[in-house]
Amino acid sequence: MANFTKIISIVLINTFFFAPSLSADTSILCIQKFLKKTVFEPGLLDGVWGKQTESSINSLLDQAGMLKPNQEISALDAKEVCNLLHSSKSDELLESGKFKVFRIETD
Amino acid sequence: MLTRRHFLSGTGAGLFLSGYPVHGFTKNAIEGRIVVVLLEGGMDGLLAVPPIGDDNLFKQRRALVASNPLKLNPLFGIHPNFKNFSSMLLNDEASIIHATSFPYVGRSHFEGQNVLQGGMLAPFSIKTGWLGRAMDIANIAGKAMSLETPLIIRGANDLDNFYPARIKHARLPSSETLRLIQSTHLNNAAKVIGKLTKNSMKMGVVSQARDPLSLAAEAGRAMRGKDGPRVAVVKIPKFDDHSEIGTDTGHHPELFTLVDRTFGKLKSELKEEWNNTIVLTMTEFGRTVKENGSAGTDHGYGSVGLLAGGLINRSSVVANWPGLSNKDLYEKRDLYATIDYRSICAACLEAAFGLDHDLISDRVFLDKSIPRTYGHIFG
Repeated sequence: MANFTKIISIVLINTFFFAPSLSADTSILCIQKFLKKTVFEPGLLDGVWGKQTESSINSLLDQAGMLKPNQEISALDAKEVCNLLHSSKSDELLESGKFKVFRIETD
Repeated sequence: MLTRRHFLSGTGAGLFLSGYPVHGFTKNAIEGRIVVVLLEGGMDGLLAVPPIGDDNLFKQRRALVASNPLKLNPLFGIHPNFKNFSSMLLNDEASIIHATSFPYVGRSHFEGQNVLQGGMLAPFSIKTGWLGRAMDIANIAGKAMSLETPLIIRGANDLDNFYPARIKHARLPSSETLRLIQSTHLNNAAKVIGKLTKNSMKMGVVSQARDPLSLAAEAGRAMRGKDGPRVAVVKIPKFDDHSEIGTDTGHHPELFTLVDRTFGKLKSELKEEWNNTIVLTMTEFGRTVKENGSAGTDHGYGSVGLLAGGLINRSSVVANWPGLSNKDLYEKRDLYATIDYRSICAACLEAAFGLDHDLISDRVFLDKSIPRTYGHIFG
């Protein structure tokens, strides 16, 4: 009985402290792993859509000219973006992601 | 003995033109022009292009940040003395590469200059220069307009050289130069040069660096001609400011003005040919992040490269910014160079000569691992 209580406690603790890993999304993880191969840092490879992942994937796609004007990628687009990252555009995106380009802002 | 100090004091501004078309030999695939501006002594890239969005800049070198840099974007600004260059940035005809260097960390002027001109990983490992080798491959051979041909444009096909007398101050013998030449000779030769030096001093001739602006104007005029040279190298010395480097005003800011006016002069003299040109600066290393005890900075690692010309379509700062906190610095003192400047030179060759990147990596820099940056600069 004591062992059973211990196991339940461990499960509850893990659920509480490591909730993100339980809700990891494979498409988001796919994006994060791709970003890790570039200079656009994804943050933790945890499969969770955070500010860092969002900022980096938008920056990479924008730099590579693969975003439409005013388009912003969100968690809802993760599957589609993952497919793009592993399409024929993959090499082009990896090459673009080797260096960061900071545009001149004239205003 | 030729010391480092003698070497530095004896070298002045200089101009070297090369790649005059030779009938029956020159193949004109892409008719771009390249001007290399050699900034000798090690330019302080953090003073030239301060990363004003990095809080550690002000913690590390508060006294060495210009009070009113022109803001380029949230991370970078540029020293206000770069007036012409700033206009070019705003007109989408210039770009900056930051935290960059040739892969050389030895902090020696001799070695650093040899690495950046030779384009190899180790100093004194080759007798030709990266630009000369590229001219060979592109079949852009011809005359070099200089008394001595600098390493950077030396290649197997360099056919001839000559030197024009009409450049400002070119006729004047320089006492320092003669002393330098004398120090490298022995016996009778040294005596003869010694006499020349004395005569030179009697005539009241003082050492005078040839004016880089006149040289830039000469380069621009020559290069805009139909049969003009395709390559020019302009040397601007004296960046080695170990003391009193200056911030808003002072020695380094004065040199920034000179570099800036050199860009302006090249553009105005190249006229229409500016649209077909890329100008790039190169310096052997950057300078320490922190100020030393003499209000200067010492030999460092990462610096900046300034690029301008009509071959650029959209201005930007290209940088994998390494940061300026103590843990981010190279050997706890220098800006880390995160971009190999050979990759920038390779992109310029690709844009101006139309050479394939893999060919440039393999046969110009003899290193297949150089990444392609063409799209980031010219795309």
